[in-house]
Amino acid sequence: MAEKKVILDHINDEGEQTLEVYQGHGGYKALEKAIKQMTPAQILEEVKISNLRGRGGAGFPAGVKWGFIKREALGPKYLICNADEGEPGTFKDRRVMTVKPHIVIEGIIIAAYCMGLDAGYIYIRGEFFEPYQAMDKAIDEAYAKGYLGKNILGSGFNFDLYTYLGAGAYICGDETALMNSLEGKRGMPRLKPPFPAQFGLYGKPTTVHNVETFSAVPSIIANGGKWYSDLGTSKSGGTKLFGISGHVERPGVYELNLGTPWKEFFEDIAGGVRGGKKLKAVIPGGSSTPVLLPHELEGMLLDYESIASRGSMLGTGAVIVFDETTDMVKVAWRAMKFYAHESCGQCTPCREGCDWFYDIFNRIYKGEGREEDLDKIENLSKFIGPNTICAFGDAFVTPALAFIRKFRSDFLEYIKKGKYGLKSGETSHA
Amino acid sequence: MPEIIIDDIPVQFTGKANIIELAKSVGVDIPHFCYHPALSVSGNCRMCMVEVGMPAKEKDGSLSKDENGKVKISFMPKLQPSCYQDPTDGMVIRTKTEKVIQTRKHIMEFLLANHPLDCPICDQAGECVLQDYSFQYGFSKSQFLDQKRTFKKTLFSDVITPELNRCIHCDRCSRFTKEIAHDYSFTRTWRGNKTELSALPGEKITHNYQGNMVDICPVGALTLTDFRFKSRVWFLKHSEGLCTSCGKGCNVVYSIDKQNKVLRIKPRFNAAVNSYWMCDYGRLRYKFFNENRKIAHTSSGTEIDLNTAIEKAATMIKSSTRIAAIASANETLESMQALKDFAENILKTENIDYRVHSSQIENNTDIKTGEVLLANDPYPNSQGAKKSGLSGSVTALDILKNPLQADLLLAVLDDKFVENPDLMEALGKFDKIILFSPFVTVHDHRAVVTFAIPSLIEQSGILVNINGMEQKFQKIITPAGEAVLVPDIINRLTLKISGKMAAGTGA
Repeated sequence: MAEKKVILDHINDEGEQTLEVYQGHGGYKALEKAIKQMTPAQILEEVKISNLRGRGGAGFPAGVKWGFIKREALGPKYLICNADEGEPGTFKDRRVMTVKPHIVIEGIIIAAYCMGLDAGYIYIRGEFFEPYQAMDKAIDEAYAKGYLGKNILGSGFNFDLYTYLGAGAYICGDETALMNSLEGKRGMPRLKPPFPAQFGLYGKPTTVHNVETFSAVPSIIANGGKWYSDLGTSKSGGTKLFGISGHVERPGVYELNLGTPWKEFFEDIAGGVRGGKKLKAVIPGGSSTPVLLPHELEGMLLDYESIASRGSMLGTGAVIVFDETTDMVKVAWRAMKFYAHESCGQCTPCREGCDWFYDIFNRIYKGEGREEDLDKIENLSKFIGPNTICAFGDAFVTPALAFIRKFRSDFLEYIKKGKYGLKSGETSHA
Repeated sequence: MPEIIIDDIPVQFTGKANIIELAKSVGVDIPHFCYHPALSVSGNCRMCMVEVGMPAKEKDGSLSKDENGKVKISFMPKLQPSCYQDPTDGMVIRTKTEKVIQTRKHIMEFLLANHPLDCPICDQAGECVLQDYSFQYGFSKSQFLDQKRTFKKTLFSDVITPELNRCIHCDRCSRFTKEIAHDYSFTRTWRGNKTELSALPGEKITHNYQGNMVDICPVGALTLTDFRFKSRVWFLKHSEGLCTSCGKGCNVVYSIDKQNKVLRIKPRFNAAVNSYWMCDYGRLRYKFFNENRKIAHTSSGTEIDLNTAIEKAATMIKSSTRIAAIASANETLESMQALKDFAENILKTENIDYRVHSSQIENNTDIKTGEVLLANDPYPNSQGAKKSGLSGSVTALDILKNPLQADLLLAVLDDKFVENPDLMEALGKFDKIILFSPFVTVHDHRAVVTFAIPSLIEQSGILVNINGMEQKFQKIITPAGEAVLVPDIINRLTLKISGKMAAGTGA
């Protein structure tokens, strides 16, 4: 197997971001097919068959999510495209939005048509100014062509699409925090239930998907759900964008069928560890997914289930590679610094826990760690994840635990060399 | 009626209910910081986490039972915040399991991680929810060894002294500001553990309800500037009473020190009047209770005993022909009725009235524009005075404007009258005056008699608020010095003048 370009097709072509070139490669054909030849129910059926799962990290089946929205329900219904790509290591959506914005827009319009939505918002991460401009330009082109606005393609269906530039908060990637931010409130996750499908943006039914999820929709409509599903595994259909970075020979965004063996992706496509060094660890799906050791990667397939069976997650497909020279204590320290900075501060375990974790990792890193610090992290962890309002608690606790469990000797080495040293009993090479 | 089971106790409820309140009603305490019954649910403190279960069902929809025939309960894998979880029929809540207890301990540990251990110098100590819960539900030791988070000192209010290092980010104060005071100048700023409460940059909060933010702050992050460092709360006596600073009649608690001085007023819940709140105007006006008190009866400025005072006043009343009287809407209903009878039967004058303020003249019973509780009428019992028939053909204000029409003026004074220079000046134009006053006045030296009377917290009685609601209150402290209740003085005067007891008094 090699790369399978569905979303990234023609991504390197000159002018692919313009509507003209995009259309030249069959762009907006799927939209025309959806609106002119299919009923909303047929579209939903195809999406269900396609086995498309949310690409934002949680992997919720898209067909099920679309089914939550009652098409006939009165009052406005909204769509949100989550482009707040904040997960450290992730850069796939940026690529798609900058170079191929029309595929996102086409997917959004098809989804909106299927669910009968009135308006859509693309919430773009604050730092993403270039993708923001690209999306805006593409939306203008789509309006000019009649793909957006009133009476789209003569169907009587009206849909407006807007971009919104966030203020650069990681937590606004959480769908409910995103909606608060979009409404002009503090970007803090809401208590659930109710879920966005009942009480979303401005209290109206809302569907939220990642950029990549919407981008997969045109090909599903054009080629059929079965075709898309067959690209992947039986449980997760289609292709997935992987952004590989770190100590790797050929970093970048790659599109692969779900279920592609890790070995093939890493060694054949991405070229293996940079400079022929040995592999130390890999974070498979962004910094919130637990780190994996080389032996855990053996036989791993790139799909939701195979990675989950190894105690980690596919996440956003942001693969971060560490070679043998990497200081894993520093990696953990840096990751915790990020989370302490990004906690929204709403609920107690996360607000206090993040900072406390960072303090501990910081002390260890600065040579003031104590042996019992590692146990303290284990102990505190049990009371953070289950008691927070959103998934942020788990997002920093699980990787922190993976770091200290899998690289315990590295941490003990730091503690041993530091101010307080090790107590008797444990050696750094345990 | 739907029913839930809290720690094996069945509780019935109707409509939309709250588990914390339901638990409270059957004596189960679910600790909480951010939840407040009058504010929106924020669910952020995570202290009220409980185990929530529902009866398990078989695939066919029937209840699943164990071998003894008892219905199995399937509990949610995670604890749920009881402030936010809606109760539904059949729900089972457990608040005392090991999982809940351990979670509470750790939530307390998280909250205390950055909370300074400055209880010995914190004004909140003794009425601090964090302190109580720490004792009840927390660990006695913390695992936290690191530097505590600190904020730069800020001053965003003249009423509140903030000490944000103590803040546990429950967000009650900013929710109160938005939802109750309808003010949008105060909110959380920054993010994460550095989240800091703040007014608009460089400005102060100006609304009239800031004291309530102090009341609902579960810790000492917001303390009342006025009460700061005055006394430990456990040295004070806390007594229920009514606020007397306007016609609304907010229910309050007076905190009294060992010298019988009022040190603080806090609101007390009454759904029909003030909910949990009171305004800063009423809260901070208490000082008149302590200062400038008239503790002895005087005649032309000389202290005299009550008998002599009665005698002097009676003689003067007997020798006068055109007597006018000014009643006070700051008196109890009982006092007013006594005065009314006295004017009718003894003074034989219709020239008696209580209306010295425009709102009383217009019978304005509205709340001030832009306010939540503060009424236009500054007097606590104008409606009572009206009810007692104390409104004459001319208003008290007009009586005061025509000093030549009366050869003797009887006036019941109060804090607002004494504080009002115009009224006091008008009083000075009268040649002969008999005063009833809880406060030393500038006219004492020339008054025929000034009777010392108790203030409103030194007596029991009834006040009628602007909505016509009669509210009883009890004496909180004993009257200062020789002060005697107005009805008692009037009875003695009646006896002296007519030889008979006043109507309606005991045998």
